Amino acid sequence: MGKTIKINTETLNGLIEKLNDKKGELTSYSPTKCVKKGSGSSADKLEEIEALYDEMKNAIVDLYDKTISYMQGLSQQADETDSGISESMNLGG
Amino acid sequence: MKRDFSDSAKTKLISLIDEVNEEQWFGWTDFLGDLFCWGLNIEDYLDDLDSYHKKVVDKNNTTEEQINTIFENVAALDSSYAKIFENSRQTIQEQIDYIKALAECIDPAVDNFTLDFVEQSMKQKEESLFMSMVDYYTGKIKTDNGDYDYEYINEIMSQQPEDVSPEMYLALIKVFNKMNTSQKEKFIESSYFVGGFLSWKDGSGKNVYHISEVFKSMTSVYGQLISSVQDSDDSKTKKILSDYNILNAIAYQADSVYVVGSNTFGSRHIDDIDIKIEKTNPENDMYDYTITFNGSKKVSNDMGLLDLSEMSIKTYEMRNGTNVDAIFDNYAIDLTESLREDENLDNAKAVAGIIKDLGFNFVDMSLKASNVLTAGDAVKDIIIGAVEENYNNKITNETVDKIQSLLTDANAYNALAMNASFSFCDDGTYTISCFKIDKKILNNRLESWQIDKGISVAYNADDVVEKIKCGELYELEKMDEFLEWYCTENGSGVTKYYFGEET
Repeated sequence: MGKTIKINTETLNGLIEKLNDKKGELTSYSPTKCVKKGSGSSADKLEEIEALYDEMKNAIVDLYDKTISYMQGLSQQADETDSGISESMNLGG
Repeated sequence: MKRDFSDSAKTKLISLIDEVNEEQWFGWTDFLGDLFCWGLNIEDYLDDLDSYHKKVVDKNNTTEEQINTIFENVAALDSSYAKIFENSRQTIQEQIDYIKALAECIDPAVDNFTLDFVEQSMKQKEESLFMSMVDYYTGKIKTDNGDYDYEYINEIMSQQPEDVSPEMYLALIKVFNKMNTSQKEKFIESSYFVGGFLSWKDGSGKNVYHISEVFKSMTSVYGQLISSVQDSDDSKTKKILSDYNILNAIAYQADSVYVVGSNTFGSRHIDDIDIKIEKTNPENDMYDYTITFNGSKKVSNDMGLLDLSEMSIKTYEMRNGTNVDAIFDNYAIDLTESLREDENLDNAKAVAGIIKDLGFNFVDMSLKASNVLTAGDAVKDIIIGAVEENYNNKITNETVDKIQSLLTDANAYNALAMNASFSFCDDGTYTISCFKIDKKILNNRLESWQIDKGISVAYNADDVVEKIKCGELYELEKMDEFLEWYCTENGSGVTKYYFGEET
């Protein structure tokens, strides 16, 4: 059995907050206090990682939105099935 | 404030050196300059860093060469951190890809959320993410100079096994596979922890070193991973199996090692555990190793005195054809040799001589191991019985027990047509890390035995393999009778029914 993940805005916000904290830590972290830039330097890599944190944040929000849409779709289907059954029962009655 | 180690900063600093040099007409002006600027007070210069740098350069009599060295050192450090960050970047990218793939699965607009699609698309992503984490950890364990960070390995080994991720276990295994023997020695040494000191009245004593639980778990994970490749015979697989053999030997035969130390004036001196791994025979291409420890498995020797002896474990790779009985025989011979050390044991000397001679015969008759073993078995009972009768000595009896046990086990493995990779400690204990059974031969033997004895059992070679894996061989009905039958009657017992099938 896999882990059960609670999907709600609270979880989402908590996750985003954690990502922001991590990004904050990253920004303040510079091992050699080095601002030298150029291809492949640690400063460049840190910048790339910072950008990835934003991309991850967007990906999580997108996953959340799609999950909610999917759940709404299921709920709508359930309603339609429910009303369909009720209707046919009424017709039959 | 961030320090600037860019090329332009370097050029600037070198030009400052030139300026300072030009200003110093005489050595004494430099001395006076140093005297007046001993308090550099950087906070006063935040708006004028050039002046600050100039003062630093003046005070320290910095040369251009020193500046170059500083910048080279910083560049090297920066490069090593860049590699670590690059590993992190790749892992984060894999995580993002995984999240995006999840979103794609569940997207109502695409309508992909079927079991098949999820399995297909996510399985690959999961594996990719897993491997990227493994690479990330592997990168953390490696150092820039091609060696490994043993302090970091030690840190991982100090954790609780359940706190170490599967990705980290795999990274440790990958790293161990890549290491040469001296690096493996350091890896293993980094996996031992001092668990206590046992003191003698004279201040001497022993530190007991325990192998880490994480190391044991790593060995166990390794064992699960190689279960699918055990049947391969190529050199690469042999190397992988022999590494497992080494890990297994350490985890189960050297989980506690007593290393001599001292306890003088209340301050404990800890002698480090020192491990050497050498190829047992550098001349051949076998992955057989001798692992030597600067300690022993026991606190004291059999006389109750501090045991200063070293201990060693020999690991043996899996050979083509059965190898277990041959090597076990040799260990039995070595143990018998130890009986010679007691001058009073004249009969034991005779035992040693006879069994050793049998051993040499065996070497000459290499392909007829089982026959020699059977001959040795017959003689063994008579001579060992004599030793037991005449010398009711604890050491002798223990040694005799080990010899009997080794020969019995060798007979059993031989009867089961088993080939194995295993390790032997010089105290006569052994562990088998993996084994292969020639199922065709074993089935022939089992069938022959049933025909010969007019009995029927409901198992075959496959069942035997499974039972051995669970350590439940003797739960098989009449297994002890089969082994006894094979060891005493195999010459005629099998070939009577399956002539020529044994080979």
